[in-house]
This record gives sequence, structure tokens and C-alpha cells, in this order.
Amino acid sequence: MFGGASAHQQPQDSPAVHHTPVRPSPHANSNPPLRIVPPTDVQMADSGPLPAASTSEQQPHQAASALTTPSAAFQQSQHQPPPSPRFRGHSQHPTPAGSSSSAFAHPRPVPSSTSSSAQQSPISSLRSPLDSNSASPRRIKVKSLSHIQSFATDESSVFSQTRSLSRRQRRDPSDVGPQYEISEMPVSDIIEMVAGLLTKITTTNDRQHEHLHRQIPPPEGTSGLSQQTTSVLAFHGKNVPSISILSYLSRIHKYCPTTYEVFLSLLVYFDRMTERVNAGPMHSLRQANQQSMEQSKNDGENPTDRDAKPQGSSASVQAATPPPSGSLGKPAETLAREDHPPSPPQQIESPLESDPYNLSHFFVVDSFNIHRLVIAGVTCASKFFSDVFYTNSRYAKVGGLPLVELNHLELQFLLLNDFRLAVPLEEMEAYGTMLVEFYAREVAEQHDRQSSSRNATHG
Amino acid sequence: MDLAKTTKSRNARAARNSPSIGSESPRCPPIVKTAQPTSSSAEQPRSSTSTPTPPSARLAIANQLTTASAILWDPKHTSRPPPGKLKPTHAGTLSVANRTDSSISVRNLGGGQAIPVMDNRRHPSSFQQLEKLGEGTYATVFKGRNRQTGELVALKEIHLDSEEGTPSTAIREISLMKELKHENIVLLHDVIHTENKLMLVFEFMDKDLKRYMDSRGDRGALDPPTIKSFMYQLLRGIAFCHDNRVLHRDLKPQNLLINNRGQLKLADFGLARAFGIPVNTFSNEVVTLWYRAPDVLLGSRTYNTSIDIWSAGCIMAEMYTGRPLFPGTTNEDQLQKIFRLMGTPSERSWPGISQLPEYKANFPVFATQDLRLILPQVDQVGLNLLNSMLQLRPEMRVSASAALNHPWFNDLPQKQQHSAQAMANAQAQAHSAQMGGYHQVPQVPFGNEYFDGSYVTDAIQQNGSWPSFFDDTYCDGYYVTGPTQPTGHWPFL
Repeated sequence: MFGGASAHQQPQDSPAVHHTPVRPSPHANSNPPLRIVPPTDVQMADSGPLPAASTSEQQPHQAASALTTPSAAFQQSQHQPPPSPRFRGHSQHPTPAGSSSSAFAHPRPVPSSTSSSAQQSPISSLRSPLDSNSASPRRIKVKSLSHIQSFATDESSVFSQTRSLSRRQRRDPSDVGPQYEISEMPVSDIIEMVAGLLTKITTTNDRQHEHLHRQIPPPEGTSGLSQQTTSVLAFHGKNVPSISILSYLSRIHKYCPTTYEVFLSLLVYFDRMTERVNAGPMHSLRQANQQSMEQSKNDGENPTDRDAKPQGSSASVQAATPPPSGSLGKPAETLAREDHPPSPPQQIESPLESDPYNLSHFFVVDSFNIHRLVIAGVTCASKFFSDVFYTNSRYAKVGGLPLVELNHLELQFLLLNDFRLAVPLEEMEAYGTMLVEFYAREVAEQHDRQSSSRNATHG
Repeated sequence: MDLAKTTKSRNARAARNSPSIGSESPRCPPIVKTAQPTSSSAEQPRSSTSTPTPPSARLAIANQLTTASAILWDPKHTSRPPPGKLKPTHAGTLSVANRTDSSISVRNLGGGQAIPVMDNRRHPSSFQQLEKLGEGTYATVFKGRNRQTGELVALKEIHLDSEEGTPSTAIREISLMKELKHENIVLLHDVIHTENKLMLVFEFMDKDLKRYMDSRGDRGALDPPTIKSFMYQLLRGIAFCHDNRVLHRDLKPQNLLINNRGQLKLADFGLARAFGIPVNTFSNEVVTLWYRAPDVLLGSRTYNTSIDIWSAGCIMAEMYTGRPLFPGTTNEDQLQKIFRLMGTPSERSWPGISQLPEYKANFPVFATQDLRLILPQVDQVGLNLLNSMLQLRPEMRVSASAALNHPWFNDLPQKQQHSAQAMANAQAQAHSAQMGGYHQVPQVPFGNEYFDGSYVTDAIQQNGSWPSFFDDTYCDGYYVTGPTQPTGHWPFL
């Protein structure tokens, strides 16, 4: 029960937040100033000092003051207790000190009761000695990115063996590999992994951008859109900000330092939002596709029918990339429920809304919305997870967007998450493990490419 | 690192090469243009074909889109189940499966789904606003009535400040209370948002504990059976929070609400936070001073669930006397009031204490007082429980679930009922475990800390006498002498 605090790390007192001459972030250096929205009063350049940023530092943060309960005001007793405490915008730098250069895994057996490994069967007797060897370390504490690089390129590591195994044959599904514990990694390293994944997502989704036909809703004319569509479109910019995702996350962490779960949870929230928004439309789209397939079949087997070709390709695509099940866990139920959207505005007035398969309704993380999603997500997650957080005016300056817009985005982010920011420990740990695997895979692929090109030049 | 560089440059390249970038792009008309009513005629010509895209093509596009979970749990690389399929490893976890919709939200929120909750046009008039109940820095609380059902509610209005955005207290309270559904935690029915405020709809409770003590007690002091019942309910609420890895961090009589059925519920989760994820920065400015644990007063940032137990101990003593146990005025004064009663700790009685930031070697030295002399109203068994909650050393403090099994509660009718339910619950879970195939936390025979009531049928709940052997239960070396039914003591208000 008290396990959480035992691994706790004391924060270092390094007031990195309001140094006066702010040095440009090494990552952001090569990038022109962030231009998400041209702000009139906000200095955007990374190289400049943050205007007035230090004032929010000096003022106690007031957002966390205790709220009174219904009954608190009845309190007329002579024993009036002192008020509940308030959080302040402290400026601790939570970056762990232990960015050890150790390149060795520290495997230790995980207690069988604490993880999903409880449902794993003992090592199958059918497996080779190699396999059983790879199954022994079940929980690995990752120290740093170089630690991941070392085991990603080390042929004898659990990761590499699992990886080569997966190419050769279908593995025993109960052997899922070790858990990777990332809480001791420097936050900047975790940011790099998160940025790598988000960049992969946006790069993939950007390819579909022109098919989505998204339009930015006019500020005053959103009445025809459902609340949800309005919330989704609020994040969509008309231009791609020139700052990379990694530089953006690093900049946020530099000026609003926080703990790693704030950044890791972004992935969880983006997945939940995708599931919430897209599950229904995806279901109706599949149904419509089914119907049109049946219809074209009944319409007298015309193979040159316009719909026939896309159908074939879509079927193969569907098989290759099954739709993500997301994180809500009950896809079937979700689909069934969203089959009949209870929101009447869905069906009226706006032509954008009248087409239920309009892809502009989809929540798609791409280069046009990722920065707004990130800054809104960090703002929300910091306030939820951390006792150290900042005012929205500071997040707005760091994120490079007007305060009113950030306030609006923060609320839309909360709405799209149904105000549920709690992430079960198991889910958080699962994302951490898979993020390490993703990063190690990328490293290994790069390594493979390099060695093959080296062989090519030498051979 | 190489990957970072490549991803960065890839991103930049993608951004530069994307055909749709720039305001001149036909796909991204400037805002001015879209301000005109969008029409299909405006949209259609921009698509590559002049005919509407068939669903199959759209499906093909949609299937090309990706997400974090699709990449991370790509079946090409892993056979791990995605998180949606993870089973909770113990019964109390905020599980993914439970998260979606509790039975309560289904009933009260019309499904708790995205669209009804998010559709702000549905709500503002659904509650009749009655008198103001209280006002704080960030919120005003009104009594309200649901126009459809007539049900009374408490409406907590939170003003959205421009500088700060949505208050952290509101984000925590909503996020955590949406997951914590328990009969000893005040129920959050709904969240309604408008342009500049959030309105939280809670179940209505008649009084807070402080006001209840002032109005019902003898100069604030309550009668022992009421205290026992309240303590039991308080500890059940705390145990549920802790099982779900949530620290309340602001327990005090003002935050415990009482209804006229004698139920006590935890409220105000604005300072609460989730724990269990290693490497966290904990603030030591939590809990109202009088109820703040000595380790927090000494500057510890590694505290845990035991800080809520200290508060519970202070509250128990206060219910007996009607006065706060440690009414300190400053941090130092608070520590001294605690030491005066519980004795000044030393490195010998509390190894490691000298490492705490606020520790001073010259603390005035007090001897430990006998609680019996300070609190003669409390019976011997009760004093034993109180003492176990008011341990200076956090590791020595009893846990909420262990406190619930303290023999002091053995003569409490509620406990016997809950034990029966826990047993039924355990049986129901044994069945579901067989089906689900995952491990359950073994049920302690009399532990009701995992009980959430959802598995128990109405018949068992109403007929608290099943199974009958609980009427004569043996627990922790103490016999319960026969079934004790609520007599005149039971606090029906």
C-alpha cells in the first residue's frame, strides 16, 4: 500500500523557471520562432526572455485553494479552523539526478501479483533455451536513452531476441517480454521518446490530411456543429507550426518543468479522445461500406462499378491495420451506443454535419493540431498529476498562443476526455513499457540500416 | 541522439513538403472565408473527384490513420494486450473497464456518454437553483433541485479565472470523483460547463460534520454509538480512496458530510491526488493545519496514505470532546501541541526524523501523555484504535483497512452487514475470476475494504442477517456478544 512513496525521489531545488537571460533551447535553436498564432503581445522567440514569466513565479499560485463544500459556509462555530492550504507555483526542477550512464539492465523478477504477468503461463516446455532465457527478466529499470540504445543494438539482449523471434515465427502469446520501468529516466529522455512517437503519428496521419477536408469553424458560426466537433476542430490550426514536436515539448519542460507522467499521459489522453470521437463514426462508416458492398453485389455484379476498386483496397488495408481498439476497453459497447448518437444537432442544418461519414469529424492527431493538443494536454495533466504547476498565462507564453485560446483549448481538452484525467497505474506502466519498446525498435531498425549500408559499401 | 534528430528533421520535412501548408492552400481557406456559411458546393469542388467520396474510399482513408496505441501495440511487434484489455490487478483499482460508465452515471447522466455530457445546451435549466449554501475563493455552492426528478442536489459553481484557467482543484475533484464511486464518498452526478464557469452537481447532504456536532452534540461532543458509526464510515471512505491509490489530503470535519440517514461521506477532493507512480513531487502544504500529520509538519514530501489516518484520528478525538485535538496557530505551535500530548519524538523513537527539513534538535522535550487522562470519555478499546491512528511515526500508523477490522467496531451493526456483503462479494468475485481468468486479491474474511456493493443483490442488502453465522462472529480475539441491533442510539436525525 505504501509502495508508491518508497521509490520517491526528492526534487532538486533548482529554480530553473525564471532565470533572466534565457538561453535558447538546443533543440529549438535551429527553428525559427514559433508561429502558431501571431500574438500581438507575446514574445514568441525561444531566444528571448519570457516576458513577465517570473511574476507568476513570485505570486503564490491560487488555483489550488481549497473550495468550500456546501456546508462550509454554515460554519459558525467558535472553533473556526484555519483554511485548507494552497498550492503554490513552486519552481522545483524535478529532473532526476540519476541519469546514469550505466548501460546494463538491472533485471529483477517482478512479483507475480503486481502485474498482468499473473496471467502468464509458466515458460512453455516447447520453447527453445533461447526463449526461456529471454523470458526470465520480467521487469527492467531503464536508466536512460543510451541504456535503451545499448540493449536495442545488443544481439543477446532480451529485446533483440524477442524482436528477432517475432520476425521468425508467431510466438507463444503468453510470452510478452519484460516490463520496462521508466520512472528513473531523466524527463528529457522520456520527452524524446514521446516526441519520437508523436512525430511518427503525425507523419503518418499528415499523408491523409488532404482527404480530411477539415475546416476551421468560424468563431461565431459554430451553432450548426455538435459540441464535440467544435471541440475537435478547436485544436486544428490552419498552418503547421515550424517548431518540431521535440523542441516544443523540450521548451515546455524547460520553462514549466514537471514530472514524466505528465508527458506520458498525453499519449493516453490522445488515444482516449480518438476512441471517444471516432468509434461511432468508424462504426457507421463500416456499416455504410458493408451496405454499399451488398448493394453493388445485388445491383448485378458489375465489376467496373465505381465503388468496386476502393472496396477491394480498403478491405486489404483493413486487414493490414486493424482499427485501434483505443483505451476505453469496451469497443463493442461503445460502438453500439454511438450507433444512435443522442445529440440532435448531428443531423441538422450544416452540410458539414449532414454527412455522417464526413472525415472532418474525426479526431486525428496530425501536424496541424499536435502543438495545441500538447500544450492543452500538459496544462491539464500538470494540474491533475503534479503539486507543482503554473498559471495558464505562463503556459500560454511558453506554448506560444494567446491566453484566451489556451483557456478555451484547456476546456475542450477536458471535455473531449470527459473530465477524466485519472490513469490507472497499470495503464500508465503499460504505455511506459511499450514506449520503450517502440523507441528500441526504432533504434534497432536504424542500426540494421546502418550496418547493412556499411556492408554494402565494404562488400 | 540520432533518432531524435531524424524524427525532428522528418517532422520539419513533412511540414515543409506537405501540400496543404500555407494559407494559400485551397484546403485551408482563411477563417474569413469559412465564416460564410459552409456549403457542400463550396466543399465538393475541392475534393479530387467531383463526386461524393464513397464510404469504401473514406474507410480506406480512415484505416490509414494511426494513434499511439495502434503503433505501440502493433500486433506485428507485440502480442501484449492493449491497455483496454488489461484486467485490474486488484479489485479496488481504477480499472479501465470500470471507468467507462458506472451504474450511477448511466442513471443520472443519461449514459455518461460524450455527447450528452458535452452538449451544454441541454443543461443550464435542468436544475432549479435554491438558496446559497456556501462560498469560497473559487466556488459558490447552492442547493438545487433537479427539475425532472425533484431530487435535491448541491450545485458547486466554479468560476473560470482567465489567468489560471480551469482551477487545479476542479480538475482533480472531477477527475477523481468520477472514478471514486462509494457509499461513503459524496456522489458527483454531473459536470455542466458554460462559457465562464463549471457547475458540479453533487448529491445533496444535509450538514457537514462540524455543523452536525454543533447542532446535535453536547457542546459539540457526540454520543459514543454515533461516533463509532461515523468513524467506521469515515474509515471505509478512506480505505476505498487508498485502495484506488488516491490520497484525500484534506480530511477535517468540514469536509465530511452527513445526511439525515446517518450516512457520512467524504467530500472536497480538491487537494486529493493519485499516488503510486514513482518519482513524484509532493507538496508538504497539504491538509488543514489542525489535522496535518507530524511528518508533513516536519517537511516530509514522501508521505503517503498515513497522513489521512492522522487526520481521522484527530477527527475521532474531536467528536468525543467537541473541540479540535490540536488547534495550533502556526507550524511550530502545531508541532508543539502534538508533542505535548504524544511526546517529543527522537531519532530513537523515530529513526530518520533528524533528516526531515523542519526537524530541530532543540524541540522542547515532552513526555508521552496517557490518552486516557486527556480523553476519559473514550472506552479502552476505542483508545487503542485512536492511539494506533495517532502514531507520530508514519510507518507505525494503522492502515484504513486494518483499522476497519479493529475490534472496537465489532459491535457495530453496519460492520456485520458489510461483512456479510463482503463475503457475498467474495463469492461473486470468485465466479467472475473463474470466467475472467485473472487473479483477484484474496478476500480477507472480515475485510470489507474491497466491497463496493455492486455484486450484492438487494435481498442480501436489505436482509442484513445473512449469512447467519456473522451474528456470532469471532474476530481478532474478541467475541461479539450476540446480534446487536440498533436501538435508541442509532443516529436517525
